[in-house]
Amino acid sequence: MFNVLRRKLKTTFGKNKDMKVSHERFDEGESDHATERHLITRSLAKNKKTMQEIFSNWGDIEFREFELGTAPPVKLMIIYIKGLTSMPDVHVSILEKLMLLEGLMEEVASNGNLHLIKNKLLPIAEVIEQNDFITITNQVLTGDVVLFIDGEASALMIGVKGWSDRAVGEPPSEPTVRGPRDGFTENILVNVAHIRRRVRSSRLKLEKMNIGLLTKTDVVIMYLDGIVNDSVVVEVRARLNKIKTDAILESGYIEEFIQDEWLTPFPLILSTERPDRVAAHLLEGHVAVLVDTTPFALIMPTTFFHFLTAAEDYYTRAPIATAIRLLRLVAINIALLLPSVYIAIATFHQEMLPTQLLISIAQAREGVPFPAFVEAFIMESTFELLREAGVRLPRPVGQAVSIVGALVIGQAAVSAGLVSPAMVIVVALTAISSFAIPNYSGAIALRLMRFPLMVLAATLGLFGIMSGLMAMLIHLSSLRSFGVPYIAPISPLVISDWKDFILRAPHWAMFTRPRLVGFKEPQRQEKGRVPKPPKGSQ
Amino acid sequence: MNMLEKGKISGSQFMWMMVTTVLPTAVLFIPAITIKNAGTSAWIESLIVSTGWGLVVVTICCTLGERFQGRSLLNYSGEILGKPLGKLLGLFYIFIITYTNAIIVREFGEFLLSAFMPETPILVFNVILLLLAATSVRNGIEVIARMNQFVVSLMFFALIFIFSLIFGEANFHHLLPLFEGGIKPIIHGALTPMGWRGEVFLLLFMLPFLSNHREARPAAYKAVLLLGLVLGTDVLMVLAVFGKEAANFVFPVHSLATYISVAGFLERVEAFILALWVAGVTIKVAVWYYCATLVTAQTFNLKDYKPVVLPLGIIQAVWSITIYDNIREMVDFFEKPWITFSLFFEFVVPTTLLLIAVIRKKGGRGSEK
Repeated sequence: MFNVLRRKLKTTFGKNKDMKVSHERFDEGESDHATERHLITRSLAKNKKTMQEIFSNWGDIEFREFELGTAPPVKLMIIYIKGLTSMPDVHVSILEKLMLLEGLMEEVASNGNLHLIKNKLLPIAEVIEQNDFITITNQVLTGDVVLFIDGEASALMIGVKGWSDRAVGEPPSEPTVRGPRDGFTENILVNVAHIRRRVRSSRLKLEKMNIGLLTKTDVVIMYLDGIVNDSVVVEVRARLNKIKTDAILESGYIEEFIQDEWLTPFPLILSTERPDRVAAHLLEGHVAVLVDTTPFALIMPTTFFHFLTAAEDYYTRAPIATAIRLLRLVAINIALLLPSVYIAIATFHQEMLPTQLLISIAQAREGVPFPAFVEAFIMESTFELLREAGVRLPRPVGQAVSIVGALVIGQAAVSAGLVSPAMVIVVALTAISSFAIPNYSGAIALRLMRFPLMVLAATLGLFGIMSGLMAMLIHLSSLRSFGVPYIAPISPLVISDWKDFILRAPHWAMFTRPRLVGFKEPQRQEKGRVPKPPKGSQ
Repeated sequence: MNMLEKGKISGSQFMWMMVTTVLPTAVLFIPAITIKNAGTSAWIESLIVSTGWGLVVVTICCTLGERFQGRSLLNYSGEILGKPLGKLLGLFYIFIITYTNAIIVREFGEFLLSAFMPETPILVFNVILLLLAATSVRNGIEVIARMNQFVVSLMFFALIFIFSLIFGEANFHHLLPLFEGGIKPIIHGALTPMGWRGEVFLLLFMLPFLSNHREARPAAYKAVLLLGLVLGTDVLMVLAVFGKEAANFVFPVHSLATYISVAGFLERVEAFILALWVAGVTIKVAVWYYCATLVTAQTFNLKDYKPVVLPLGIIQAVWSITIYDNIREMVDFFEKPWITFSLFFEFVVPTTLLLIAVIRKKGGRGSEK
């Protein structure tokens, strides 16, 4: 109540009282330019003047006036942005066809030039009539060519978009040994096509929207109708519609706007560059959101364990995939716990080490001036710095520098007596294990959780570590991603989902979808057809 | 009632919560006290007598709950006793549950202190435990139930780990002679553990959260039987390894863990066991803490129980320090005052309520809705 009054006073008497209140700006909607809704006039000269005003100070807008090759000639004008249109199409399909009018000189249809041009002269798939400046401007900004015809009250928007794109290649953040090597690019139409190639069902629905006042980024929601949980789709749509902002430059922006809980190190929405991963999730009943100008698609709802699985798990054979998953489970524990456990045992619980090991470690730590915690903290921080620096370095230099740097620093530190060799081993093992976690956001969450656990280990030993882990468990238990509890299928205990949890059941055994996501159509194949050679073939 | 907690738990989650309500600290303290009084027959007592008592308490509480179609105790105590006495009952239980929780916190703090970190002030352990429990309580009973499912497997893993690895050291001749002294030592030794097993009376307050309140009775029976089995094995193994002298230890199970030595490699692993135990005790404290806040909120007709969490936590933290001077005093409390104390609020009060309800013909037969 008091806040309302305060705001009212500010807008009436305050310093910035002439500044528009933020929500008003966004409710105006489509145009960031203060034009009123103009309809185009029949006069080409007037239209040209209006467009020149709108696009004043735009170096790359091209205006081309020419004449339709009829007798008498009709004035035409195209406007386009050079970098966004496909120039060969502009030359051949538009200008040539309209100016030269081979063999059609006599045909001036009675219903006017617009009809003639649109239906008979332009051999282009996408031609739409428009008559208001705002839509025309927006369309030109996305790469269309607008054709104004003298004497007609509508203009034609011609879709001849073309710009240079990155070639489709292996997704750099998620390489696999076995599996498809096409990744998303920055073009949303190409990305959607990748997914459509994999899910060839008419039930695959696609909803387009534009988010971002100034960037007008194309955002697409995809889901499989009949399998997906409808309330999730409704929720995703509602949250996307609520985004009122200037710019959406990457799917990460959208992720922050629609996630359930921001004050958590754990990501609640999965982002991936692989179309096969998106397709697999769509088939299980998840919703995918693709954003133009970025190769990272968003998948929701997610559980914590989605961040610990790789696409490759499903392409290798079941026993191998299970073994690799178990290895990954060990890696996760090492990445999170090894430094803390080392500190706890070295400081509080030395009796737990077998005698030989105890003697070696004691020997190693002989001349080290720091307590175990400080040692560990220095080495871990150094490693994180190296890792972060390695990401920014240009590729040829980067690999060499980070490896050599790690070795040299580690070795030098040991020789100088600053850290013990056991510590270097611990840090190295931790680092390698953290790289075994497939998803970047999941890995970084676990990596960061290491540090508070180290502090707890140094102060309270194993009890401290356990308290830290309990605190993490409490936090994880309370998280939900679009209604799905974050640590399903552990709690709530869904035993039927355990076939794809730590073990990976063979494909012929996975006859239900994950229960919390795909409950609408739970059965995906016939039960239990174990592959066997036909009888009597031996 | 519905506005306080919207969560629902299933029958199996309920059962495991009943197990966690008793198990974590019972495993630590019961063997020594039982063996002191019952001698070599302690394991019989633990398997049969205490379990029987647990079943009695569960029967009474479930009958009372079913009579009132799975409503919370505070809800229908007004009907049975009249409004003012019902409120008084609420106040009584607030005190009881908070006090018992403070005792539980102190129990575990003492364990950590004596077994692992004698130099640390006990306040640190108590406050950390209570903080973790408070965070769980604020998240609601569904979260507690879910975490419990995860944590209970840790506790059972720890127990199986200890018992299987110590089996080599067990000398079952320590269990003889059987029935030395007759029945009297068994009954005598059963008095304190009966108080522990009766702690399942908390189910009276958790009945409303079950999706089907009729699942409470079989779940509770299963829980009591499982508890009986586990604690019986516990006492059995302690007796087998140490004999009657185990009565002089305070934490025989911990000493058991210390004895484990596998291939000269896996030794002194009690710190590891402790770590797993912390999880169990945190959930136990959380469950008791939750019931305390719930009863408080219901007695005073609050719209939300969350504001009560922190004050109750502070009360419990302070109480856990001030109730005993040292661990001997605490064990002495368990041997003497605890018997009457627990008998009263676990058995006498629910039985009285049930009798009054039957006499005054309040509540349905359980088959009506």
